[in-house]
Amino acid sequence: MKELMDAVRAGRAGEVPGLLKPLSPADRKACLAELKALQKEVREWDWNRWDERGKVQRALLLAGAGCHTGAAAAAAWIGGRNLRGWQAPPAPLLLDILGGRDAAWLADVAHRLASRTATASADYPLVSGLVRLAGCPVPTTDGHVIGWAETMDRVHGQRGRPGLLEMLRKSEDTRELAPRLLDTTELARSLVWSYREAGDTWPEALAVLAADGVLDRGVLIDRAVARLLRGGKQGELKFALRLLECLEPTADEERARVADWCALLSDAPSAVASRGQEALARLVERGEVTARQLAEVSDAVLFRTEKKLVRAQLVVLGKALRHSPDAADELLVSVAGAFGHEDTGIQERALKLAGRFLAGAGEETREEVAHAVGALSPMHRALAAELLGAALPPQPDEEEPPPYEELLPPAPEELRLDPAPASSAELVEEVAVLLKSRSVADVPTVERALDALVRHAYRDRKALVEALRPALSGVWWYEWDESPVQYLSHVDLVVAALIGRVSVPDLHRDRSRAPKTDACVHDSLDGVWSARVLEAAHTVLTRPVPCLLATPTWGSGALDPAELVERLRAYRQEGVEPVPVDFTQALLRMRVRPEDRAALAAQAAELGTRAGERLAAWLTSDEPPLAALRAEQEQPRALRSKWWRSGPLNALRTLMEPREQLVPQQGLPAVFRWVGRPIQPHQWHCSHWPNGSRRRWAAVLPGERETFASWMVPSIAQGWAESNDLLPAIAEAYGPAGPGVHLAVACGLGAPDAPGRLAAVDALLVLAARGDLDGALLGGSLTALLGQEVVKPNRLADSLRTAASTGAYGTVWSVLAELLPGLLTPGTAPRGLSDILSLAAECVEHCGAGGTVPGLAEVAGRSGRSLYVQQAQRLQAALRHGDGSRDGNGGDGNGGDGGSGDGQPAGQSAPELAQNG
Amino acid sequence: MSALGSHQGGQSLGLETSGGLTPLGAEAHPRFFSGFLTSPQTAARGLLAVADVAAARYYQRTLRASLDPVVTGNGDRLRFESFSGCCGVYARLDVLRDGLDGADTGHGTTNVDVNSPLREALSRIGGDDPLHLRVGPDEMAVTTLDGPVVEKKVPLPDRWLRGFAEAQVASAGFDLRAELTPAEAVRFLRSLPRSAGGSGGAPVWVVPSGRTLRPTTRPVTGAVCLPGPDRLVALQRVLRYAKALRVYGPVVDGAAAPSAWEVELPGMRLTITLSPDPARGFSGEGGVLEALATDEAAGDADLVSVLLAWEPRIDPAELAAESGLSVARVKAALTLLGTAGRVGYDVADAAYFHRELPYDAQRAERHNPRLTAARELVGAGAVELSGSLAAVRSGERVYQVRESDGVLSCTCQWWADYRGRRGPCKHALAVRIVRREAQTGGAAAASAVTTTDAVTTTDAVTTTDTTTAGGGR
Repeated sequence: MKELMDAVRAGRAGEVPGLLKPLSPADRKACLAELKALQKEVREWDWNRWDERGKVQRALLLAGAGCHTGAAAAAAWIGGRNLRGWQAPPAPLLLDILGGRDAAWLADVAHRLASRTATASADYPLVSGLVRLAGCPVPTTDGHVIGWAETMDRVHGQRGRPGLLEMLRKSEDTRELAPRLLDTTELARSLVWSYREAGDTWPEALAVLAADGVLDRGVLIDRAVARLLRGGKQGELKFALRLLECLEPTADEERARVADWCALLSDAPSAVASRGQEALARLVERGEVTARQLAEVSDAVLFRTEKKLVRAQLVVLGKALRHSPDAADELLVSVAGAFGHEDTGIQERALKLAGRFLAGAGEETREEVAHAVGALSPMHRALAAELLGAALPPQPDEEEPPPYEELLPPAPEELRLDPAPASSAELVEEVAVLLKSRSVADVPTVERALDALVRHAYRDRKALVEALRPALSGVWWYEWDESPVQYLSHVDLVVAALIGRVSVPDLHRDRSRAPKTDACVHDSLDGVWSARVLEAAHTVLTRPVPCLLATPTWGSGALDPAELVERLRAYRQEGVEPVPVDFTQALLRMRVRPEDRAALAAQAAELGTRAGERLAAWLTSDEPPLAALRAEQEQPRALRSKWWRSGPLNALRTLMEPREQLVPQQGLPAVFRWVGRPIQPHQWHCSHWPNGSRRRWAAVLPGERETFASWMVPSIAQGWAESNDLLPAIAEAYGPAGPGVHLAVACGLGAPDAPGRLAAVDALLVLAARGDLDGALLGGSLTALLGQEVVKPNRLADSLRTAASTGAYGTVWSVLAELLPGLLTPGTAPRGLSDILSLAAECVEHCGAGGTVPGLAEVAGRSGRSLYVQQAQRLQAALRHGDGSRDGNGGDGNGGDGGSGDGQPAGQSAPELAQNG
Repeated sequence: MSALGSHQGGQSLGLETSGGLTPLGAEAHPRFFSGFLTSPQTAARGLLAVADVAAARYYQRTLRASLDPVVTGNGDRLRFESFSGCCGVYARLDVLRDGLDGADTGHGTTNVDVNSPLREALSRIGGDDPLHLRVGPDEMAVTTLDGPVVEKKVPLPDRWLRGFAEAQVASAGFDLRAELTPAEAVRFLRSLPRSAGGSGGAPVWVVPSGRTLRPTTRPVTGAVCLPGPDRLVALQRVLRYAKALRVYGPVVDGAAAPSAWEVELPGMRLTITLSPDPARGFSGEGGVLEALATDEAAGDADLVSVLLAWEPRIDPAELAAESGLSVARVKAALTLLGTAGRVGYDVADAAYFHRELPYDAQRAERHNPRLTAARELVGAGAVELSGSLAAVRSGERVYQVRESDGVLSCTCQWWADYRGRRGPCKHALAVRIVRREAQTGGAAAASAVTTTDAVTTTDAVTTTDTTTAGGGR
């Protein structure tokens, strides 16, 4: 007994079995208490004795396994987490120790270990050894099955070892466990990640064993199909598919599982569904599927989006109909279900199939098919009349569809900012939120808080500081020793100044520092904000003002000039002069209606202060205060010719030619001087990362969105469309919308990320709703961007489709009408163009536009049935239809019934028929 | 074990129950229903959708969760409910009378076992074959299975229970925002991404536009938040049978919000409720903590709970008349019962319904970490009241809690991050408790009267309840 404990303490696991053997049950019981004490002691050891601890725990596990009398306790000791390292305990030693117990006890331990989820697969060798000793049934838990599979696989992986098939033949567990391989919650890794050479893979080996009669074929097929039905990870499904492939179900076996194939075909992922479809097609060919079953599964398949499956199913249906034409009643209703498929090519196939067999169908079926015709794209109406006309029962005259109405979102209303918080308790709370929150505050919140700090500091600085202090505990810089001035650039800087954490000289030094000359646009915009904060922090300490002048009136950052006049009046009453950055920002933020200019200027002049005069002069100046960017006249052509340098930067440069500064810059503080200057290329180059923290950029110049957009185009082209609310902010801001705004939106529509494209769609619709969208200008910008592959057609099609499908078909068509001629050039079609063409056709079909698109006739006239040509034809037909209804023959084109206006629709579809024939 | 069997009369789906509550008390294997389903294929797909949610984690998809759906018999309908392992998605299939071929159901709530073979069998169900549904043991088997009542021993995390209950409270604030035709519903749901894209960041919103929904990045008026659109994937199962899609959500205030998506099926409704963020489970929403902080609400809830009898729609006015409480107090009590998992909320009916989660859900709510922390603060005397303000000392720090129009705000990190959108912080809760205590202490006599009043009402009501129950049976 003493020797055993010594060996365990020394971690000599190998000696344990030998030392256990002579011990009596009473000795073992006594040992157990000591072992448990040791187990506890070892757990408390310092981490750097990990090596020693590992060895002792290994020995403990063995000794304890031998000393436990109850099966449950022994299993818990062996399987428990606290004695096991990263390796499974040594099975041979344990088997040696446990070997003497009776069979029932061994079986109990084996089954208990096999049902421990965490350890069962690693303990496979031990459990299978115990099962052999006990002669009991093999456990079939997930862990045991997986452990068996991994063991078969691992041994095989070594050089010179027998192949997998041989291993499986030798293993005593194969017959019992192999059929359960597919039942585990997650498949064994070796089944999913097979690195094996062909000829010796799991599926092949299992198929051979099935052929030899070792395994039951039927069971294997059932399990594989069940796994496919259950769904799961791709690799798992792949294994089940491969197993089916190797087993090659016979005709009888396939017939016995019709419901399975149907279920797979209806709901499973595409690859699995095709497997079901293959089986079903064979069964249909042999006439072993009832029409009812086929109709039912076809309903589900034709509802799917995968074109390949739908096309194949139409072929299956065609064969079934040829085989037994009397099934038409059952099957044609299913076929008509595909009339509503989103792909017009599939609609056409379904239509032709229905046309061929409708004659044999009963009255009721014909009525249902006729009803489904309404779901067809207008391009197929004529063909429908042609193919089904004779067979269809006469339809009651359809009502005239309501006239098309463009649906645009309401133009956003601007929200007025709430006034600054009145009580200091409220202010303290807002400041705490701004300083502690992990999310980014929006412009109104920050501006309000900044203004409130200045106001409260003017009234009673001491009280404010007292109220602020307790709320600041927990703010990272609050308990620092050194001055945090260089790390703060927000409302927090003003707070730090108020509570004396930064000094006046520090603030003065930072304030008088000249802005960097090589700053990018983003830095320059940030510079405006930092300058305002620095100025405010310095001001509250040195020369308090009653309020800030630049605090916006509306959420976009715009300022009501009347409010500015009132603030200046308050300044006069208190005998205070404005501070420069704040005042300039206020001037730049003003949104003035031209008719109010004179009256406001007069009010400002009446104040009689210098500030009042400056405001009056600003309001009455003839020239716009900033350099607006002017468009070149023939921009799209110019763009295309010069765009070989690629990149939106060059686009912008060719698109817009900056005008020289018109307003003298003497009055502007240093941080604003760049605003009025033509943009320099270096200002567009930077390594800024898009994140949502710079929402305030747009609020620097809320009334000049054209200027702001032109600054931001390169960023948007790099994928910033959504972050910082850039595009929506541009669309919701004020001022003329010219080439800059449209180019920004164009870049956003081709953004690589879905949220970015969605933001661009928002911007597009808001511009349209406010009447600021120039479809031709946007189309031209897009042509250029597509031509240089800055924007990809599929992304563009996706975003424009989103915009159109909400009801803005006319708006999107106005863009596409300008875009298409540039794309429909001779030669090979760009990838993804068919998407754009089909979208265009959809737009025209909805909004009923007419006219011609240069180059369209040529493409539509091409031979071949490529998607691209088909969609061109569809668009052309839709445009002609639009022209037709405009000429006053509206009634002709509307019905697909073929009853009236026979001549024109038939004439339209003549070329298609010729090709199809 | 639940299974699908075949008989000469067609197929028969047997859902086995395990430990539940009925009007007769706790039962080991309650039996609610035995009858035919009107649309078997649709019902099977709906059940699979509910089971999908129970087995899914939509956030950090490392481990598969596997929790059994809960089924409630409300007399005229069966409700199958499940909650995702990530605590962010709640799904419910209501099989209405039309879907049950006009048959009545029993009353009660229990777990049903949905195992892999059953899932496989459900996906195999074809269109026309009649399907017999049985919830609970076979009549023949009842006697053999009837043993001692064993509470289901599933190691359920507290947050899962809290989330399940909290989802009800969140949906009580929803209104119908949009209704789509089948074709538009299919088009819209198919346009959603199937997998979680990137870190995402800002949530997507949808706003009704004509006959469809327009996705947008802006929380405009009338919009509904669609956080983690891939989490609606379970609806794809029943898309083919959809008769309409209805969207419910709270009034927009600019921040991400929960929303409910209901697909109408023949004789059934499948509703999926999403938490405001895939990373944010319902469990932490704290929508009811204020109510929990007082004993008054708990007393009301106890009283109201006695009156519930598995109604499919609970009428607060009726309950108020029965209990002698005001409608407002009944509503507060229902909210509280919602967090205890004892009532659910049906957005389509805009009403609570009675169901008892077959878990000890109340324990989870009582041990809400924020509430526990708040009680500790009160116990330590950390709250100092002064007018509408209060100072709460927590460790080294002092927080200011301010009341304005009955809403408490704070200066702590929790408030800074959520500004009340995930319930009050522990400091605000502590202040609420102290204020209530101060009030009741001042008006001890008044409170004594209320208590006696409540007791008498309870007695009266209990009697009525038994008679109604007897009559209905």
